[in-house]
This record gives sequence, C-alpha cells and structure tokens, in this order.
Amino acid sequence: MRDLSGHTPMMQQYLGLKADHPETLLFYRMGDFYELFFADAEKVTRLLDITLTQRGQSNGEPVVMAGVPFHSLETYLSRLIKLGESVAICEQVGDVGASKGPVERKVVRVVTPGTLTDSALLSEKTEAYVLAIHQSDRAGCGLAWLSVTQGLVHLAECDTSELPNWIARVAPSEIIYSAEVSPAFEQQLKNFCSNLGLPAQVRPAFQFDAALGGRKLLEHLQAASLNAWNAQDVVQAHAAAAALLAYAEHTQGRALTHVHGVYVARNDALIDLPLTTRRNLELTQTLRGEDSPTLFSLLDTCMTGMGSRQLKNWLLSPERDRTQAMHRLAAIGALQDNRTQSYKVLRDALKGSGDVQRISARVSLRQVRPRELVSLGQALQKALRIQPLIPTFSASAKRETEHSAACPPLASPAPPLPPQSALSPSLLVQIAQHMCVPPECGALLERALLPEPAVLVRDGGVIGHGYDADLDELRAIQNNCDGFLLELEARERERTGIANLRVQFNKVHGFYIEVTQGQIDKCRPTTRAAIP
Amino acid sequence: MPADYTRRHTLKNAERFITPELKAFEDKALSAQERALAREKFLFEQLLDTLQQFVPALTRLAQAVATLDALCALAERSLTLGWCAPEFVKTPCIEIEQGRHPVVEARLAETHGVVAGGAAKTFIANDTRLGHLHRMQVITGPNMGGKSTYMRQVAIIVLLASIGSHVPATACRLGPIDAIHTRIGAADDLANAQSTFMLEMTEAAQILHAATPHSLVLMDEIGRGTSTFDGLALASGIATHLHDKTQAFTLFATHYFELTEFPANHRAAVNVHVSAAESGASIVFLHEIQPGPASRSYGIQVARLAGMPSAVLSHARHALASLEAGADASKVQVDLFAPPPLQDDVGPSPLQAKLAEIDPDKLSPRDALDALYQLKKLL
Repeated sequence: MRDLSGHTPMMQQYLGLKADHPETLLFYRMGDFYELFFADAEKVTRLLDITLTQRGQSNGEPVVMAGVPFHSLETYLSRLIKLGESVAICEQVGDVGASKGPVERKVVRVVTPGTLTDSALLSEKTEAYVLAIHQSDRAGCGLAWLSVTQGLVHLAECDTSELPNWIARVAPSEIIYSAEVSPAFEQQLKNFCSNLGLPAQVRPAFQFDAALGGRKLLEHLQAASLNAWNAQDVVQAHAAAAALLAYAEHTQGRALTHVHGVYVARNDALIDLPLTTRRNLELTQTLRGEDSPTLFSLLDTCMTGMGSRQLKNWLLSPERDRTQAMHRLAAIGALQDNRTQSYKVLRDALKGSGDVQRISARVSLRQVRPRELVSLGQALQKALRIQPLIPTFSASAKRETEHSAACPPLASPAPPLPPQSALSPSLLVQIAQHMCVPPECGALLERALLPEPAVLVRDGGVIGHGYDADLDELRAIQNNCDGFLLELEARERERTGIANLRVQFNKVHGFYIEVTQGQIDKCRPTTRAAIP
Repeated sequence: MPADYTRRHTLKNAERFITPELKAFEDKALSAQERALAREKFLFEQLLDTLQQFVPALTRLAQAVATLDALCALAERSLTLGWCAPEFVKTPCIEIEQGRHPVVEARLAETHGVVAGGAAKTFIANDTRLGHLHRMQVITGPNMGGKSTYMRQVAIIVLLASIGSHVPATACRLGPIDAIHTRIGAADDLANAQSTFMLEMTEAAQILHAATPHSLVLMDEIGRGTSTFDGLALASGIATHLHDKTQAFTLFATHYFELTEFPANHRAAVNVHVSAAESGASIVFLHEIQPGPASRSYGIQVARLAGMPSAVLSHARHALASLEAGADASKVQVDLFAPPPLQDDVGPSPLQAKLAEIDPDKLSPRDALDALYQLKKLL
C-alpha cells in the first residue's frame, strides 16, 4: 500500500477504505453529505452532472470532491445503477467526538446492478440476478446465479460455446468472472457483455474454489450432502457458487442467511429457447427492445410483482418433462371452475398484497424499512383470508391443510414436492399449505409496529404503543410533560400557600419553581426555617 | 420555603428554586427523547432478530403467493381471450386446430375497437398438423401474407402449452418437445459488424447442429441474403438436412418457388401456402394457410401497396415477365438492367404505325430504301 502519512488523517482514512474498493465509486459519509474524492469525484460529476469542487490540499495535491445530500442518496444511486456502476456506501459508525481524529467509518454495503435489494432501485416485475461464470480447465464453464431477494442459488454447467445462450436465459443484471480466465475467454465475454450493456466485474481467482463452494452450499442448505438437490456432480458450478456467494456477501456486508435452496438447471431438463428464439418470438421484448406488446405483456395480468416475476420465469424456462405443466393446467382448471370462479375471488384478494419475497429477504439482510414490515404484516393477514378461498378438492388435501395450519413446520429445509397426481389440483394444495405462516409472526408485527410508522428508524415513531414498557414510559414523559408540571404546580401552591408560584422551564436553567420576592415571606412559617 | 427547596437563581424580584422531585423529572424529560430514539432502534433490531426464525416460512409464503397469482393470471387470460387447455401425448406431434397468434390478435382487437363499425379485421385462425407423416411444411405465398405470423404462432402455442398455460386455439395436442429454434430475418447485428448473410448462416448452422427430432424449427426465408442461385442452393440444402438428418418439426417459409418441388421427392414434407386474392392490379390477403404451393408471390402488388413509384413498378413488371419467359426457355441469364420498353398501354407509337403500313413484299429496292430513311427520322 502507498504511504499515506503525508495526507490529512481524514484523507488517510478515506484512501484506506478506497483501497478496498478500487473499482467501485465510494460514497464517503461526511455529516449530511456523501462525498466522493479525486477520480471518483470526476467520474460522478460526468455521469450525474453535479458540481465538482476543490477544498484544501492533502499531501500536496488539491482535494477534488463532489457530494450528494444524504436524503437524496436513492435518486443518485438509481441513476448510477442504471448506468451499470457500482457504489460502496461508507457510513459513520463511531460516535462523533468520541475519539480523536476522524470518526470511525465503514463500508456498510455495496450497491451493484446485480445485487439490489432496495425496492426503490428494483423493477417490480423483473428479478435482478448476478451471474458468476467460472471457466474450467476443459472447454466448459460453471455457472451460478442468484437474486439477492430470493433464497435460491441456481447452478449450471455448459460448454463455452453455449455461454451466450445461458447468459440470455438467465438474463442477469451483472456478471462476475475470475481474474484468471484465459485472455480469449475474457475478450469474448467482454464483447458479449458490452453489446448487451451488461456490467461485468472481475473477482479474485482464489474465490472460484470448487471445494469451498461445495462447503458453502452445504452450510446454506444445512445438509450433509448435495445429493438430495442432485447438485453433487456440478463441480465447476460449485466454484462459481463460491465466488457468487462471496460477492453477494461482500455487497450486502453480511452473510445471506435466507439462502436455503439450490436448483441445478440442466440443459436436458428445459426446453431449449435460444437467444434468437426469445427475440424472434418477442417473448419479453419486442424486436425494437420495447416491453410491449410482447407475449409476456399480454399474459401478465398478475396482481402482484411476485406473480409477474414468477410468470416471466415460467415463460422463459419451460421444462421438457410435462409433469409440472400438467400440475399447472390442473390448477388452472380448478381455478376456472364455473361454479366457484375462484380465480376472480382470489385475484381480488391478492390485489395490493405486499412483496413478501423481497421484504423477507430484506428482513434477513437487516435492511428492511419499518413500513415494509407493516405491509408484510398486512400480507400475512391477507394470506390467512386467501387460504380458505383456494379450491383444494380432495378431502385428504383439506386435512393436510388443516394439519399444517395447526402445527406449521418452522425449519423444514425444502418445500415438499407436490404429490404425483395430475387429477387433483395438488399444486393448489401445496400453495394452501404454504399460505400459513406461524400466527405469532403476524401478531408480533402488529404489536411491534405503529400502523403508520416513520420512514426511517432513526426518526423514531416506529415501534407500537404498549409493546415495550420502557419505551412507553419515555414516550409518556414527552407527552405528559405539561400535565405533570401543572399537577406539580398545583401541589406546590397548596403546600406553600403561595398562589402565584409557577413551575417553568428555560433552555439555560432547565426546570424551576419561581416565587416572586414579595411572596417569599408569605410562605408558611413552618417551612421557612428550613431554607439553608 | 419548604425544606426540599433549593435556591437556583435570584432575580431582581423573584427567586427560583428546584426540588428533588422536579430535578428527577428534569433529568427524565430532557433525556427522554434521546432515550426513546435509542430504545426504538434497539427494539427494532430486536424485532429483526425475532423475525429471522420466520424467514423460511415467509419465503415459502412468497413462493405460494407468487405461484397462485401467476396461475390466476393464466386462468383469467384463458377465459378472457378464449383459449383452450392443451393435451400432452407421448407420440411426437404438434397438432393445433384454429390456432391464433395471441399478440397479433390482441393488436387487431385493439384497432378494431378504435374503428368500431368500420372494416373490422379479425384474426384468421389456422390449423397446423405436424406428425411423423408430415414433419415439414414448405410455406410459400405473398410477403405480408402472414407466413411469419403463422410460424410464430405455432412456436408460441407450443411454448405456452409447455409452461402449463392454456393456448390460443380450439384444440391442441402436443408430443414431447426439447427445443424451439428460429431463424427469422430482420435484425442486422450492426453492433457485431456481422453481415446479414453471415449472421443468417451462423444461426442456421447452429440450428442444424442442435436440433433433434423433438425440436420445432422455424426457418423464414433462408438464403435471402445472397444471390439467387446461391440462396436457392443453400435453402434446398438446409431443407434436405432438416428433413433427412435432423428430422425436426420444421416450418420452412421460402420465397423460392423452386422449393415447392421439394415435397415431391421428400415424403415427410408438404406444401402449404398463404392465400391471397387478386382484384385487378391490387391484392387482398386472406391470411389463410391452404394446402399446396402458392401460384405467385405478388411481390410487385405488395410494392404497389407500399407506395413504390410507378416507374419502378413498371420496370419490375417488365423484368419479371422476361425472367419468367427466360425461365421457361431455360435461358441462362436475363438482363435485369435492360431498360423496360416504352409504355405499351398508350397505343402504337408513330414508328410502329409506320412500320405496320409497310408490306415488304410490295416494295421495290428503291422504295425500301426510302421507307428505311423515313423510319429512321421517326426515331
């Protein structure tokens, strides 16, 4: 590392943090602003059209800087992310004035196009995936991808020649690859990415470690073997998964505790839809690159963003095996049933449901906002109302549902597979089972939060009344100040017999009892002697 | 004053006191706000801790809601747009009755809504029957006649069925499918600086390598990017490969009439064409797939609809006539760039009239020479 001793203490701290994020714009929190320095400042000035300023000198160089106010961070972030940039957010974590020198700062998260969790930055109808590509010694590639807001790691292996089709299938928002891929491979990948406007990040080669990836996956699955997921043999993909999880953890600044699933996408399991087919059939984009009119825009009348994302996923990854399609057809048939027309009732009930998927991911990443939790609570209530509306015909299915409602499985590793019967809408039975979340969760949310909490926890006004005795008392003090003082005043007037005694407050002296000079002597004699 | 009064401050005409009770209240009140904020932060973090145990259940709930929502959307679409449930069978086949292209149909319905009562255009549904007897359709007919729409609709119906959705048709039987390949012209890949033809051939080659007897292959106007004979030769080569080797379900749209001969020598291929009706020099597209080869391609009529200048159309008609005559007489080359004859519909020219008057049998050599001079002047 360069010698930083010539710099001011604050610039030393900045440069130290920046050294860990050389490729990323570093937003350095200073009071009410996020500041960028030197090359970052120049870049962001160009990209966002904000003012470049200069303040003082450090180590003989002028300090070039540009800043954005903290409350409009999101706006600037979303613009930078759309341009394919990544941003490291560095916050003040120490107490101001607690120590000598600059307050302690830490990069708390890195916002990149493929690892977004913030609802303000994400498209409601599209999943943002980050895809890790590992070039193996043979002519193959290992792939691993995930959406940070989902709890599922996807794995796949393919020939290098098939890579473009896989990238098209996954449609990632960002790609990562090892620093030690072959130059030809890197060149191809770069060309391909720049044509698609897809940001690509280079990651250290040691992170692409198959053994490490296997171990990490087992940790997430809390299992002893990947056999149950049929994922033990895709070793190249394990290497990609190692780098993928490391990158995701790096961006979120914590482990992804909500990742509990692995899915191996096999070439021979899906109906092959090459890039050209997706384009020519205008599945999700017109030939001109617009979102509508396309097959997806015609199909997508979903009531929630979760539904839209699910439907898009179905459309782009149809399975060769017909079992899944037959389950869905059976379910659609049951939903359409003339007598009940469940689909209408259910769609009405689904309307306005919060994005449980993204909110629960943000819960485990501890990035969730108070209002999101309120809407999560509402979604849970909705789910309880929806559950009995789902047409599950067979009596045994009913019993199962009731059973699961009575004792919900808290930590089952993987959802049970639908029973292999195409006649009963077993998919709907499964859905009905999962509609039930332990009631204490909803109850807790309802109790813990105000119905309309503040936007940010730091503003206060988030936690519900009656949830915590200490908080209630503190709030009571603020609210009942006046009442207490009036009561005290009355008591003291009574005690001293001074009718114009006043209890008052000012900023310099705090609270006090004021008695005019003329009245001092009128105080009841019994107490007079006690004055020191 | 009472014993618990402590003097804080003396003013000119007042004394200020504090009592232990008031002091305690002061401490509490002044820090209450700060402490409440800190307490809220703490409680929120604690809440997040408690919620962690519910995350797996919440994830399953999210999955359930997403699936239910998507299924309900498909159920709604199916009823609103009049779709039917497909049927899966083990034998390889793609059988569609009255199939429609859902997106084009929806667009037509929209425009129909706008010009309500006007010339209503409804989507013309078509049947498709591909099985072990007929694996390939050679589709001919006018441009704009709906070849592309027809081919795409088959692919979209196959895809929709495969995801478990209902499909825009009155009936659909579907065997196993492992891929949907398409080679459809249009987008030049300018960014890659690949020529149209190179791209066309690259994509076609990929399809020939990848397709299997369970794949659906759409080939639209393959060979268009190069010279006529090259293109024709390649197109027939590709068609033969798809028919003999790959044996994929193939919809092969082509503008080469020569390829309508293809099914004669290839048992699993059939000719179909999109129909059009000529009314005078104009043309009406019926968008209907009919058995047999197309009789003409109506390219010039389409150009007329597109507003091509009449001089160009006239040139083209002439060139077409000589091409067709040339083809009949097996002549090798036709000069496409020869000027067209002068307008033939304005009656005989003075030169022609004069020439018509001459009876060579009755001319003396001297008269003949005179006539030649006169004719020369008329030029």
